[in-house]
Amino acid sequence: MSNFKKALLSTLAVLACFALLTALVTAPYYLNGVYNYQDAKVRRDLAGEFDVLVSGASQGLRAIDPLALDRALGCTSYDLGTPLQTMYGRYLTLKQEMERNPVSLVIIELSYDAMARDYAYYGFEGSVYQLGRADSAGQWLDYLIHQVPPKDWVRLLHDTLTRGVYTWKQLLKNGPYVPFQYETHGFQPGLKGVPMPETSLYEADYHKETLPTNVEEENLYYLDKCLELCRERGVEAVLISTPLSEYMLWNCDGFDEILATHRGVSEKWGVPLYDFNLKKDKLERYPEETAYCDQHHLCEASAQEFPKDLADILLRARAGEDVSGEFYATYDEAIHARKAQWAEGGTGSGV
Amino acid sequence: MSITSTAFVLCLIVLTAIYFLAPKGLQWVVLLAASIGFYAAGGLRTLPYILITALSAYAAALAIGEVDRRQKAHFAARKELTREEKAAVRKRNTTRKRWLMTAGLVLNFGLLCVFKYFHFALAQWNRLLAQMGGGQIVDVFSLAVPLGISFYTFQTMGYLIDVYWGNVKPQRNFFKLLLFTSFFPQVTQGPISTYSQLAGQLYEGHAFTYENFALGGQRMIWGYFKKLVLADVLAPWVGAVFQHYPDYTGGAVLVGIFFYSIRIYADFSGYMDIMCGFCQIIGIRLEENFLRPYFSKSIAEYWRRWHITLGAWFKNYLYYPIAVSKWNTKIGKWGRRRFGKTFGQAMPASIALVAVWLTTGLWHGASWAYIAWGGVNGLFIIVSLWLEPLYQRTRDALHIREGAWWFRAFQVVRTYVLVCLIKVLPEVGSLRGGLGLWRQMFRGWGTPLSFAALFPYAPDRAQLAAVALATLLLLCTSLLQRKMPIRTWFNRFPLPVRAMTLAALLLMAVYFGVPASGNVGGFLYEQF
Repeated sequence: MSNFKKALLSTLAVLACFALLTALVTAPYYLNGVYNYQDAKVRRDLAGEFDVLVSGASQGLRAIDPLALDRALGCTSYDLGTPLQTMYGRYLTLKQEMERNPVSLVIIELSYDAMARDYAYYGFEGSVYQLGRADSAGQWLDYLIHQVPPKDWVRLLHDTLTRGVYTWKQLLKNGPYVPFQYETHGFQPGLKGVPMPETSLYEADYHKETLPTNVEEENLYYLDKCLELCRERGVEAVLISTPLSEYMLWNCDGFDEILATHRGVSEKWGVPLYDFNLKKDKLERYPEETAYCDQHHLCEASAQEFPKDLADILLRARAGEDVSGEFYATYDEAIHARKAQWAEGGTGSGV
Repeated sequence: MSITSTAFVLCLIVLTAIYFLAPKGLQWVVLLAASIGFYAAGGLRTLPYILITALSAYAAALAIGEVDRRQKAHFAARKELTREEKAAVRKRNTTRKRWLMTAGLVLNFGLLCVFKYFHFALAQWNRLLAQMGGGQIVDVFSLAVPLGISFYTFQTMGYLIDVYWGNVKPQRNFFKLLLFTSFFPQVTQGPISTYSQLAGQLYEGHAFTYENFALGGQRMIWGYFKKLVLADVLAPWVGAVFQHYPDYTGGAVLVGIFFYSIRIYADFSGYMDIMCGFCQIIGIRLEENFLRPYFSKSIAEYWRRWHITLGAWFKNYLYYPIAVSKWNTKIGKWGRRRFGKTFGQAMPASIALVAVWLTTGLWHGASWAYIAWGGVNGLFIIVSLWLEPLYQRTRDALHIREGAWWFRAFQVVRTYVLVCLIKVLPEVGSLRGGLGLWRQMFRGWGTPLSFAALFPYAPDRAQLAAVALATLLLLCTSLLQRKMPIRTWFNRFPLPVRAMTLAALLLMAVYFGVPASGNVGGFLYEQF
């Protein structure tokens, strides 16, 4: 055999052994579903059942218990949310599920950084979660090549190996594990409410932080693609923003610019936008002491309440009612109106 | 570009392909382009300095060669010259050549001194002025130290000295000499090669062979394993000890010193393995820089096994010229007459050793700590030299056979402990810090020995297990290498076994090394 052929054979042998060892380490992670957000198997098994899909990042994942939404809206829903999910990732997952489910409504959650997020911001962690949800090797490769730069491929491999090792440890300790998404339809339960910063801090910390208000072209492009997908299939689409801690609304500057961006998309596609941070009864429905597990996310208990709130608005809007009166027009208006309520002795903040 | 990055590995793969696809006569051009590209990637601003070194060495060497050529032609044309007349001509020409060589050395070592030692020298001058009550000179200069200046300067000046001595002919092609100066696998951390050993290999063409590919590739994987699993994982733990040693027990400090010895060996030798492995793939043999140094039986032997090429450079171009110089020989003869044979032999060697070790210390760093470090190493070697007759008499009196296994084990352990202690002296940031670290070794032994007491920086247990396993593997391969060339032994196994072993090493390098590689900013010896 020639030198080159022998060298090629040796290299392929090493690569094959490397792939084998990697597969051995990561097999439980991909097969056993211990990894929380890896729900491709569940979605595949339950395909054909869902008429409502929730697409979002971690805010959407935490805020909506699909079973609660099902009861309130009279549907069968699945929460496709994943932490740090990019618009491209959302588009891929949404497209896949709309192809194999009789979807009539898509709820797209837009957090404050949904349009600003880029790879430098979310790093490769969001990609790790997204890749964990890939349904096939083709989908996995497509996402890898599109979103993960080559310089991070080794980091990605390392991260996957780490998750594999963790899964092996769990398996050895607790035995095989059945993905809970069979019962929760994508929802990630388990986060308890913790008190948010006191209202006495609101004035002192007013606009001390600044949110990124830029719009990454790729995010806008794939959001448009998601909405285009809905339009092509005659699926109703709704844009929402889930409630954030009231402290965060005071502390961070930039919410109204971001709202303007979201409204632009809403007007362009003629789809409603419901920003629940502007809801007039936000403080009563989502008390600062109990409703949030952190400033950005509703807790498990609120994930039962928020779907009712959402369903109420959707049903009333469907019935032709003008629900705009339930919402303030801007964040500035909202926080100052609530401040006025407190001043008059209004409740909701617990102060 | 980091040598442990994916981009670098991909570049090496592409370079290898281009190298072997290029005509043999042009392979050196491929290497030159890659070397300049690698160097420029580190910063275009410092590229002119390596060009100055190459150009000045090229010009000086050619001029020296021209003096020789003219002398030869002169003697050939003037056969009637007497021996005395020829001697006079030779003497004049030797002086001319010496001036040319000196000019090249002064320029290049001058540049090295400016970049490496300017701030240190200014700081010492300011201290002196302060003690004399004078004003301070403000250090406003910001000098970006050219990448690998210590290494390429030594390598190229070695070439110039060899030309002066007539050991090698001057290279007439500037670009070939530039390749020798800037050859990227060795420009940042060595090995420091001699022109006679390396140049021929650089310029001649090489065919692809499976043996070179396999052996070189295996060596590269082993190098990455050492660097990523051992050196980079140990880095933050060692750093914690050096930073916080006053708060740690003596046991924790000792463990830290032990970890440092592994870390620096794995880091430096790992780099060597990666680069020597790559060079072997393309058919070039770089000189070895390590020969199981921690198995040395004395400090002198240690420095013949650690950073071998630096030691060889100092031996060839500093030690021997001083040791055999006329004035030093006179001192030896005078000493022998006055004080006996031992004095006559040891004195000239000691003078040369003082020069070598102070320079070695300075080469490693511009600080009193490094000078002290060099001084301590030199002191041990010099004292051993002087006391060798006493040691021999003691061994004879106690009937200790030098080859006895227990005696050799004692020597190895003693040397390893000494080496570890000397090594850390400059690593804490200052001489005072180094001495403080030594003092701390003896404190805090009243605290019960527990995991927390020995490892106060709370290392990840899985990583600790990996370090233990990797160190054991390193020890086993070192022991095996004493008996046989380990890679030749390894290649006796069938392909599936070899492939699985190498794959396992790579997997460990990825699993343990990827997070760890974020802890360090490259290789330790790059700073020199």
